[in-house]
Amino acid sequence: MRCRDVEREILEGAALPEAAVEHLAGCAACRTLNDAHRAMQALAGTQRHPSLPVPDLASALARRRRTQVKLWAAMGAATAAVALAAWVVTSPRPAQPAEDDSAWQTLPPLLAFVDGMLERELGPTDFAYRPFGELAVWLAPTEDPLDEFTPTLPEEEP
Amino acid sequence: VSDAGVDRAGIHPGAEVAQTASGFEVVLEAWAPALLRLAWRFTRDGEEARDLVQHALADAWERRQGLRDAQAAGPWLRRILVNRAVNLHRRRRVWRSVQSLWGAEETMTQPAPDAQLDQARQARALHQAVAALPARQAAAITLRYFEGLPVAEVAHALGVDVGTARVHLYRALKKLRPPPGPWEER
Repeated sequence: MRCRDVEREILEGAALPEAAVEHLAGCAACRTLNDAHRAMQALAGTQRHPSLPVPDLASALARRRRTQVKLWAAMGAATAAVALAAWVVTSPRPAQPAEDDSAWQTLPPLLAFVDGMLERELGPTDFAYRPFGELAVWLAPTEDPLDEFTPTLPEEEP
Repeated sequence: VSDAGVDRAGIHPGAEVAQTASGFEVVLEAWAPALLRLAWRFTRDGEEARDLVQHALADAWERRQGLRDAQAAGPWLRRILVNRAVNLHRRRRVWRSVQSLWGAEETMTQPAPDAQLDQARQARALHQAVAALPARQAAAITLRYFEGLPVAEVAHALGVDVGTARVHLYRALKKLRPPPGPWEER
């Protein structure tokens, strides 16, 4: 007998024919397989199972329904979340007002004004603001407010 | 699982039995104890075995139109249960692999070489060795040796041809080859 035939006989578990027994005597691989098979049969025969309450069909179906409800609920929640995300991403946004560049148009004059205030030559009257601090000196009006109070002296007669 | 289970339950083997809801329910409940025993052989845990049987019963109920002959209910139900058990085994193996990556794998205590192992320890060691096998090999070993089915029925339960079932058994036996002396925890 060939190894394949002997292996088949061993795995089927029936009593080995004479030819298989003779083959085992001269084939270590088949002998090892036969030993493993016999050991498994002996060990498996000692296995005992406990007595357990048998589940019935009604409880199995109720459990299946609960599982399906949970599954559908989870799928519904996931779908709703995806739809919400898609809506947020694709929804048209409110029209933005056109950019007002008037501020930029008014900036140069403002800068010129500040520049004019800061870089002017200080006159003697500017120093009248000194008691109010250095900043007051620099922020003093360009036109001397005292001008209008300067009394007009009568012209001297020649 | 043997066809005698149907006879003991007093169910008349006929196609019409399984085609009606009440008849099908009777068939399922007649086979449930045998399925539970088989499930326990796969899981070695009472709660998990009951879970497995509940899933198998619900699966069978949903596919009841596929059962043509009530006499074939036993092998048909067994095949459904084995499918479930194989999937469970695969998930567990993946989980054990992940656990071993994180170093959380349960380590077995190595017994002294000359220790006399009692039957319970041998059974536990054997179950651990079977659990470490690939899913179909483990299922083949469970069906062939623990359930005592012939190779042809093992093949039917696994949904493969007889030659493939033999290959599964052969490879599993090579991996499970016991050391000389008592079967030790490995």
